[in-house]
Amino acid sequence: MTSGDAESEDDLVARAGQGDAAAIGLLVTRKLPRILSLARRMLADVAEAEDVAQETFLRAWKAAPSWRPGKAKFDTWLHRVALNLCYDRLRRRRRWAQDPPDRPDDGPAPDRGLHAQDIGRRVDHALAALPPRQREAIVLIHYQELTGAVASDLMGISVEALESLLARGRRTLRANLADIWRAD
Amino acid sequence: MDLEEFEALALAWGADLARWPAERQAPARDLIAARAADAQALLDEASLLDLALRASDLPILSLDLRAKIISAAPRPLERFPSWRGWFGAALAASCAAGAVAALLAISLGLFPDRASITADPAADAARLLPASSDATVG
Repeated sequence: MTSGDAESEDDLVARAGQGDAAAIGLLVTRKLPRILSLARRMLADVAEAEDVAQETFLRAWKAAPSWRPGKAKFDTWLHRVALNLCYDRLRRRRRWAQDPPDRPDDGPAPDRGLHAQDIGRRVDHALAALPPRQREAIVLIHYQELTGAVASDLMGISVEALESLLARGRRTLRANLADIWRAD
Repeated sequence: MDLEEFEALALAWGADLARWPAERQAPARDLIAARAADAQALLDEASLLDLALRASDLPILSLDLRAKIISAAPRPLERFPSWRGWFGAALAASCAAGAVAALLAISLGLFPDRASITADPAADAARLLPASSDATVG
């Protein structure tokens, strides 16, 4: 993101805080898919992800009138809020480590290869089975496309610690998804 | 950078060097230049997982959710918001009407000119009040 983009985003937030409908619409168009994607991958639940996205924006609307440009990037702030809300829900579930969500076995059918949709489901399943911090690291870097510096700052860890989480997460995913490329 | 470090980085950050920490990108490119086949094999391996990750379902954006979020956004500030605007406008109108009526009354001589009131109430009354009111003023 360039500094020009950052300025225009700050300007958008300021205008949204004053109730400017165009700025509000543009901000939602730009940010909602990212926040929804983050929440869906962290929670593996569409309804909960939508709740988190809605709550994230409610907080954004509260913060917008007093938003100070340059203090923090709005996108990073929004990610932080959404991640906190995701972790609140994950903590409430109290089951992530020992009891990942019940899902049907999405393994490949014996008589055919894997289609893109099958692969997508397999990946979603494998991501959901990762420990949350590894999942968070992979989601922030590979899906939200944040830099290592921004992602590690968001997670409150060093870049080296982030790298370690990424490596462990990717190693597990590679092992769990190995049949995908063997099936080709 | 040696091949072992390159492999560790490819495992963690994937095949796209742009994602790697900035300070490691140039040494990584040097290694690719020096050991093209080995480095490329490691990047190819990492790219398999990168591609698989990209196949993950994208969230379906609900228009209903978008509408809900927008409906909860701040409202623009109004010049005369709700009841305060109407109350203020009504108050201003009645003040203006009162002022016009008072000026009209003065110009028509319906009110006494305060400058003509003296320290002698009886003399003022005799001068300003109609003759029929004389009995009430002492």
